[in-house]
Amino acid sequence: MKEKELNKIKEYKYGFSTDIETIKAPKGLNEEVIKFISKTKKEPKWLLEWRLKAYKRLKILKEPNWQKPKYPKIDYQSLYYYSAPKSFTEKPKSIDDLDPKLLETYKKLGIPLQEQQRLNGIAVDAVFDSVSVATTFKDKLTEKGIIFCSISEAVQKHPNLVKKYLGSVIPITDHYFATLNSAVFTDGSFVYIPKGVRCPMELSTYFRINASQTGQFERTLIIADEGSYVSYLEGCTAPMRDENQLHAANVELIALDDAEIKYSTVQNWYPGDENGKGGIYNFVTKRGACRGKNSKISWTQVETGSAITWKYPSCILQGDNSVGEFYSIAITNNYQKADTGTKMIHLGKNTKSKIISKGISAGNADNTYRGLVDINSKAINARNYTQCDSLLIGNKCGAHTIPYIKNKNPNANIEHEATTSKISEEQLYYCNQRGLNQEEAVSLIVNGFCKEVLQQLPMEFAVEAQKLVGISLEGSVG
Amino acid sequence: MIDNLKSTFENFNKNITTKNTISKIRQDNFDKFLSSGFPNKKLEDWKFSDFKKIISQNFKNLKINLKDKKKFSFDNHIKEFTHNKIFFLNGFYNKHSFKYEDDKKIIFSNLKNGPAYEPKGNNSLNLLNNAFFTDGLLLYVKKGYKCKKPLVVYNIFEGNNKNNFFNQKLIVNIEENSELNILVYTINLNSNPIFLNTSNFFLLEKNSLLKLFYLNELSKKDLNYNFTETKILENANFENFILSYSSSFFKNEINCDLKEKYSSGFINGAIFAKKNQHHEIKTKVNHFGETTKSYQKIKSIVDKNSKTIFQGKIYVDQKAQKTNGYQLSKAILLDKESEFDSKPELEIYADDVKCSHGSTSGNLDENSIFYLMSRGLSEKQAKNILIKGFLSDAVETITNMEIRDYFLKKIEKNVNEYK
Repeated sequence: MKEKELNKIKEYKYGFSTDIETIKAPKGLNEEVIKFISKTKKEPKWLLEWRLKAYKRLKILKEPNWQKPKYPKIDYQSLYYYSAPKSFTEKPKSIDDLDPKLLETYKKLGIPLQEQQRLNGIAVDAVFDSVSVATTFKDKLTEKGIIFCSISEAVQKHPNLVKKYLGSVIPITDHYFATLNSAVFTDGSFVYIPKGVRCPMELSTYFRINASQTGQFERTLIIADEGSYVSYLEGCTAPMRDENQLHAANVELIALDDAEIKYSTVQNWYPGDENGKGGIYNFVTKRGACRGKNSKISWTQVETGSAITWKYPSCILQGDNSVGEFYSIAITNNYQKADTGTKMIHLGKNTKSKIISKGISAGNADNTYRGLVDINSKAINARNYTQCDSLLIGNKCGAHTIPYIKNKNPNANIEHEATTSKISEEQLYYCNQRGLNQEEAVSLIVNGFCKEVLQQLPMEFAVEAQKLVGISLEGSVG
Repeated sequence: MIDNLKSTFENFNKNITTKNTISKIRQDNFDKFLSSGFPNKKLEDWKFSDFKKIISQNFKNLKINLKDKKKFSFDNHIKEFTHNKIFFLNGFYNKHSFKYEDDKKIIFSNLKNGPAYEPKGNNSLNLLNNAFFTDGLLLYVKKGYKCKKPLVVYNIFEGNNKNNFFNQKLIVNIEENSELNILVYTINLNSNPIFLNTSNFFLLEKNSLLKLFYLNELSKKDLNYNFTETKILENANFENFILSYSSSFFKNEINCDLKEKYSSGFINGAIFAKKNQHHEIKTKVNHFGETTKSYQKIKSIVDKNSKTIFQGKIYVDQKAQKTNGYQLSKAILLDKESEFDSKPELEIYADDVKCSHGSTSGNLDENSIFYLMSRGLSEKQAKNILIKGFLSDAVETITNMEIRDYFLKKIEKNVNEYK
């Protein structure tokens, strides 16, 4: 990477904030706020009741504390649970009606919403704080019968689908943060791919937290009907602030017979400064259900941002012959902490899962892989392969692997491997000898270390992710 | 259960002849135990073994009878190799013979009057052991003495008395440049089910070597929790092997602290859980010193409604550079009701380390069975050969040849008898 380019992006380049007028719900978490959110979004009665049921449950639940990265207690009463650009009291009809400031923001982030500027044909749903601001390429998708819109819109226009699938993978009685999300979720994306349709373009959501003291609680629901295919990308950024912000999203995927969903995430929330001040708490619940026969769900994630990343994208392999995959790179630098991994729950016959996890920690960071492979007694011929590799850069960081393996089936095959090592002197010397400086050498070696996962990303993302890997480790050597 | 235990403890603490200070330690530990109760699966360490449930299913009441001290005849000695002997009968020291060693170099005492040390271990079964322990072994191997023959600690339970709860301790200190091989051989000749709760502590000083072997021949309904803590100093070497095939519940928990540089720890085991058994090996190896090494290999066979568990953790401290840690657990499940759970864990804070773990579980290889059958073996014979081979792989890590052969024989016998 050129020196100039490096300097330009050394700082967190998405750290700006947009000065835009917002409407917020009153501070705090109570029934009134939930009613306010529901009313603002003109939601049907059943959804409000659903939210209130979740809230009731939330009051009984306790925050989990078994995770490796500890964090100061979050004061849920001092957060804003709803924040939307003011111009959104009436949702703009088309992108041309959008607040120019918003367009400018997304332009800066590299996501121009005006379609004509977009040549590579990715449909984007942009979520700004609590609401979805724009969805592109709608017409083209509608032609194929694909529904791609914000979840609030889906509640209005496709209530049957939403009612049928919302909360069917992550029930409102799940753990604390999932239940919190169920009670106060504000917006997110909704995707429905009809029978036998192969989605012609990548679908993408871009999440942006802008307002301070705001938690972002979005909810994504993707349904792939029989024989369909969709590839979905998710990107995230937030401005630099010296407070910690909470991001507790829920993502539900449902794959019916012969359907395939590919879900990729490049998460680059603000990680906090080099002393560990500020940054996003990324406590996300992602779960996919392979309901149908021969269905497949594949998670790919590149986690470089956030002060604390705490998430386990999981697959419930219910259908016979279904496949679950999880590819992950988690990079932590400075005082960042990550506790991530996956759960593969094998219920159907001949189900297969594959887990490839690469953890890299530098500076004072802590990186944990935690995963579960659970083979039920009915999952005959189930197969799992897990590989977790960790790389340590510097002697103040930590790398941990905590896999849980449960096997109740004699016909199942489970393999788990994990290694931990550092970049060897020989490798560095070899690169130095060929004219690369220390940082370039580390970036090259780390990229090679992650290659298996980077290959899984759609091409446009792969290039960005590769750069991100280099940038995230800036200043960790030498 | 707990209420009964309270009255058992009151009687016990009144009748056992110990010093006041120790009776206070007992009381304190029992009070602490009461506040936590038996471990259940809400605790991370007991996630796969709900001991509270297991003990309440197996026992209505735990009883200790201190008056039980009768003569006994025991002719079940290990004949395969010559060895030094110590006998414990129903939890109490009975007799010993160190005829192969220099008396002055081995200092031996029983723990009837209470040990002169602070009780260790903090899980609730350790607390229970501290409250109820009756006897045990206190052994010093003096500086520079290498024991010539292995020591077998016979831990025998017999007679149809109503005792069903035993708590013992082994405390062994291997001083500088010394060597010792111990086989702890626990055997129940009784038909009454027992709950045996043992806590063992070993200190390995500079350049010393300890080889520790556990072998259990308890009956089908017995429960055994065996806790081992070792501290290993500079250049000392600890080797441990667990052969686990008897008793209904058998949990071995081993904490191994590699305190100083060049120390090493090897923990290996073979589990053969045949019918309605619940066997667990839990290890925690802490690398605190530089250039330390650890190696673990656990192999298990699970069949007929049995469950085996391996929970292993390698912890590498920030100072412990140049650490080498390895951990492998393999399991074969033979039928649908069997279960194998494992949690191989790495927690690493130093960068110049090589740590890896592997865990696999599956079935016997069809092709291998076919190969053996095509050479004229029956299916049963073929399977037995594969099972033996699988378990022997772990046993062959034992570096004491006599004990290795003895253990291989035990496995052979067990597999052949098994239908």
